[in-house]
Amino acid sequence: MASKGNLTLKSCNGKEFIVEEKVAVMSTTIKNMVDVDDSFAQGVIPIIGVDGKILAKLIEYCKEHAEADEDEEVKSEEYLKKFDEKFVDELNLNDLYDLLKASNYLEITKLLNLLCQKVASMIKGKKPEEIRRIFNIKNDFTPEEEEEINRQNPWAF
Amino acid sequence: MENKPIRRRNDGNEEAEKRSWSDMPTDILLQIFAFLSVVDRIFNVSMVCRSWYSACSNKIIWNSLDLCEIKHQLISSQNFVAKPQLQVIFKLVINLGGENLTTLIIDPMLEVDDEHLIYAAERCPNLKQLGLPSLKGTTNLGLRTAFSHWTNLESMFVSFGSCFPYLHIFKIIGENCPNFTELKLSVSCVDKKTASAITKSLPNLKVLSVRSFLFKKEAAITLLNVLMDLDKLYISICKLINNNDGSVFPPPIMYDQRVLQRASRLQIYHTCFTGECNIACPASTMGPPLLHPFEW
Repeated sequence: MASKGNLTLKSCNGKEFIVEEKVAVMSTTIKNMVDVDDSFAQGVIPIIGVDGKILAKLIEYCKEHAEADEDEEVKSEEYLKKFDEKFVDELNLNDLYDLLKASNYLEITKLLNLLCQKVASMIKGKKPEEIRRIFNIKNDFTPEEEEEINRQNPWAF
Repeated sequence: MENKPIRRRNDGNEEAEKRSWSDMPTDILLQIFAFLSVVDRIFNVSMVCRSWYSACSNKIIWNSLDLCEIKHQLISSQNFVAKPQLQVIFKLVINLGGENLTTLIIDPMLEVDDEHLIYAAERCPNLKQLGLPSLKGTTNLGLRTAFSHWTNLESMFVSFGSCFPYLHIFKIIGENCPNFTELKLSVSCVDKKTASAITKSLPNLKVLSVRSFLFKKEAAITLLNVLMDLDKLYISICKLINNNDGSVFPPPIMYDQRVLQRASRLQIYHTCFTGECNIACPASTMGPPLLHPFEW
C-alpha cells in the first residue's frame, strides 16, 4: 500500500507504480476517482486499457509538469517546452497512438493537446496517399465514393 | 491498449504490430484536425479513409472560415487560385459549419454580393466575427437581410471604396447586433459625418481601429466625446509630404492637444503613419486587400 500522499496505479498488464498524488491528479479522471471515493486513495487504482510501458510514459510526463507547477523557478517554461519537444520526438507511432488514447481517457489535457499538435504537424501539407502510408491506413473508399469525393473537390471546377 | 502487443515488447527490439490510425476514435481525431488548416482538411485529410472523412464532416471543427488565409495557402502550395474555387470552398464550409461557425472572413477575390451574404447568414446565424473586404456587390436590402440573422455579431472588419455610400452599414449593425463592440475600418477619409454615423449607430463600441488616408481632428473629438465605452482606439494614417521640399510631417491629429487630452482616458490610444510602425500597432499591419484583416 502506498504511504500517505502517494497513490498506487496499476496498469492493465499488472504493473504497479507508486506515484505522488500531485502527479497522479494531473489526470482529471484519477482526480475524480480519488475525490469521490476515498478507498482509491488507500488502495490500488486500476488504469484500464493502459499497459505498463504507456503508463510509465504518462507518469514521466505528469511528474515533470506537476513539479513545474509547484516550483516555476526550478523548472521554467522554457525547460518544460524543451522537455515536451523531446518527449514527443522520442515516441514512435504506436506509442503516439496509445498515448493519445490513454491521455484522452485519463483526461490529461496538456499532454493530449501536445500529442494532437504533434500528429497535426505530421499531417500538415501532405497528400492523402502520403498520410495513409505514414499512419498505416488502408484506403477503404469504394471507387464510386472516391469519384464522388473527387467530384466535390473544389479543384474539380 | 486493446491491440495485442507481441512478446518482448519492452526489450527495445520489438516488432509490435502497427496500429492503423483509421481506428483512432473520432473525438481524438477531431482534436487533431482542429490544429489543421481548412485547406489540409478539405484537400487531404478528408480523402484519407472513411473514418477520417466522417470526422472531417463534424461541425465541431468548422467554427471558422477565413478565405484570406485559404487563398494565401492555396497560392503558396498550388501557385494558382481562382474565384470559382473560393466560391466552392465558401459554400462547402458554410454548410459544414452551419450554426457552429463563429468567424467568417471573406477574401476580396470572392467579390462578395447579396447572395453570398444571405447564403452565409441563413446557415450561420451565430457569427461573432465577420470580415468584409468590400461591399461593392451588396445592396442595402441585402445587408439588412443578412444582418437580421447575425444578432450575435461582436466584431467586424470592413473596407470601403472611396465612393461607396457606406454609412448605412453602421445603422444596420446598430439595429441588429446588440453585442457589437469592435469595429475595424479601412476607409479613405474619416470626417465628422463618418464619426457621427458611428457614434449614433454604435454607441457601445469598445474597440475602434481605423486605417485611412485622412482622419479629421473633429472626427476624433466626436468619437472620443460620445463613445463612452471606448477602451482602445487605433488610428493608422498616411504621412503628409510637403510638396515644396519633400519633407515629411505627421498629420495634425497626432499632436492635437484636444484629441490627446480626450484620448488620455483610453486604455490604448495608438496612432501611426501607415507602414512606419509594425510591432505595436495592429492598425498598420493591416494592408487591405492583401494582408489579413484580423491580425491587427
